[in-house]
Amino acid sequence: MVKRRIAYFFIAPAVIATLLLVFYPLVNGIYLSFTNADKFNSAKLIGGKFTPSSYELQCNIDSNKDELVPPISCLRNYINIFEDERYYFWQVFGQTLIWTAANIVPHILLGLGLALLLNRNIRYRAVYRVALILPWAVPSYISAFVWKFLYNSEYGFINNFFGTDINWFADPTTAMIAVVIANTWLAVPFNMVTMLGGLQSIPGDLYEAAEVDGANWRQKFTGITLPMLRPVMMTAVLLGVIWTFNSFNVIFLVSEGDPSRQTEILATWAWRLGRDQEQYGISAAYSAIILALLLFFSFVYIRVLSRPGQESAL
Amino acid sequence: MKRLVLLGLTVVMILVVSGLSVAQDVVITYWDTMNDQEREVFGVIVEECATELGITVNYEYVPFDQAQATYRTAAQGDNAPDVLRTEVAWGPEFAALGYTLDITDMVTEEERASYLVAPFNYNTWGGRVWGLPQVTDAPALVYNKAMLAAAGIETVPTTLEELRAAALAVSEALSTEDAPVYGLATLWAEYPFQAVMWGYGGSLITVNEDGTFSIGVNSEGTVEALAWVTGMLEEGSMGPAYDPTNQYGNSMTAFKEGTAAMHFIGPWATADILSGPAFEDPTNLGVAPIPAGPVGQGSPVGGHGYTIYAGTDYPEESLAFVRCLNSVDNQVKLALELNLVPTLLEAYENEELASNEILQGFLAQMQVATNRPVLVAGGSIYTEFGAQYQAVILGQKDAQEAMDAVAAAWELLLESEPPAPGE
Repeated sequence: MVKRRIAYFFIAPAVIATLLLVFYPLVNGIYLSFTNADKFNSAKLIGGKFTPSSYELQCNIDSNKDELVPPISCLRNYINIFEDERYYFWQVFGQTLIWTAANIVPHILLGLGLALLLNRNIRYRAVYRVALILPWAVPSYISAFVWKFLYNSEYGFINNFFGTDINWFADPTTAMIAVVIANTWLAVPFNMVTMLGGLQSIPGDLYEAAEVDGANWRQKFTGITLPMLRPVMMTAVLLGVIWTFNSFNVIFLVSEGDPSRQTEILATWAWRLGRDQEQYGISAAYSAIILALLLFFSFVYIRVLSRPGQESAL
Repeated sequence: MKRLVLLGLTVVMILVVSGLSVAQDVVITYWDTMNDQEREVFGVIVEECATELGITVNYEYVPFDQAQATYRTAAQGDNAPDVLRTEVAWGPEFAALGYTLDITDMVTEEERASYLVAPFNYNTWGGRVWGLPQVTDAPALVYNKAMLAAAGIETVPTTLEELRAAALAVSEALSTEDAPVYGLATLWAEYPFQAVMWGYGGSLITVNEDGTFSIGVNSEGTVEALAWVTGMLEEGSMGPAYDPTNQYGNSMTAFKEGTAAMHFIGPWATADILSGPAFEDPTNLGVAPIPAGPVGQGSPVGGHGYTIYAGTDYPEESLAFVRCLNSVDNQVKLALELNLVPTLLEAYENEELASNEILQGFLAQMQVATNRPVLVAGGSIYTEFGAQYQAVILGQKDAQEAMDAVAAAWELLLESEPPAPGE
């Protein structure tokens, strides 16, 4: 019993920190999503004088604008988001799916390709590794600004160097391509390192045995490398999807959501509603929707992909 | 126990000592939103005022496009600067949220009367005074005299149709095969576009007598005005091609380097323009009012004021600091060195200022400029307007459809418009 008490004592700091920094904001955010919180009714501290918040649960507000009754009216923010096109949910959601899919494929393929190249005994291997890991070492907002300059339609390096005249952010398709390229450049190093780690943990005797059996390069790749990489790849894809779905910097800094909101994704759009317009209730509902979507995806993904008996890095 | 007492004593000591050191000296934090060229001149004024008043001023820079949101966040948690350079459209919102100090009773009648009426009114909301105006401005038609002359245009256009014809003449006369020249630099956003909108009879939001709002942005006039812009872009007389995230800079660069002959821009940009290669000779820069349209003439009146944080420890000292920054001498200095338009009547008595051609051009624009609605939502209306303006300019959306979407979004904004005090 005494032993156990000491154990509790030791884990207390971590538990308290987690409760305060993760659990409380999460619960509070979900609570906010059911309220009419905005800049007018939030708590304020001005000159040492504290004004408590005065927002209410949506079901406690009689609204004559809709015919919702409790408990459905508690979900008013969610209903507004899904039904009122002035909150742009469906458009931004579609863009987020395109953005995530368009990113994850090159991330994984390029990451794997570069890892395969680096996993051989080549000269200057260390130099290549450092060069390829660099994008990851640069703070991502700095890279984002650099990409923004490169894409400038009139004075940017890309158009001047290639002699092209592409107005990247004037068209939704080229704008999306532009941000995906920038984000891929940022994300490939992580995937490469992860895959490289996976490759190096494959026992060499498997390849030796395969060689004795006369397997060629392709047979070795599909028969040994890919199956052995599976757990690592699964983790990389899952993390990649979650990060890309929520990735803020590149969209926010490079395209700024332009042209007219057509490269905005859920994470950046929720931020704009929250910070620019200070509609905390709506913004919190957006965040809760993002959380629900990602939880659902992760659950299905793990369910579908992890066969029983198979080892997973998750 | 003994240790606890010791600890308590130490804490008390620290509190007392730090409390004393704060009390000894007045420290005022001032957030500036001026651009680089402006701050070079203004920083000196801030220092002079700090010395004159015997106070310490933390002079901090917050980029203009982020200042509104940053200030709101800071003010909500008691971290706001004592004095903020506030854009006119932000004033009512900050006042409604209780962030800025009501200085109605601190400002004397005399002081009130010393300001131009229109800029001063921008600092009032609900009959109360929330700030003092620093500068006023409205985008005007700035032009490259040599380029217009080279294209054979002798008089500055006075109607939007004339302007369009002149712009076409310039780009046809001066463009070479691999280096296009534009008559008018692309209107960088919805903000300067408003001048054309008012010219064709469109409007923003009108507050009716019964307190309801009329939204005029989706009227026929705005649609015609958008057709004027897209028409010029198609003709190639307006350029460079609209690049959503870089357009302000690209239009400025084109004008500074002499690849665009005319530009709609306000006095804040003159220092930057005069640093450009096309204006090594500053007399090459001409300024005139933005031409009239078939229905009217206008340009959005903007400007900035000084507001004081409601939670400041030093309301009196902050106001004294503002008055020092805003003295006649300092306003004249800003006018002469940066071509910023003064808000004090007395500043206009300065002779040097009266003979400054650039400044007089902007003043002529002020005579035919349009006030924007003084609303809490006034600072937020441009988010949707800007997004839809972009969609039309890039040819992705029908003008009427886009402006209807703006009106719909504004209805949502105006739903949360609080009544002004005293109304």
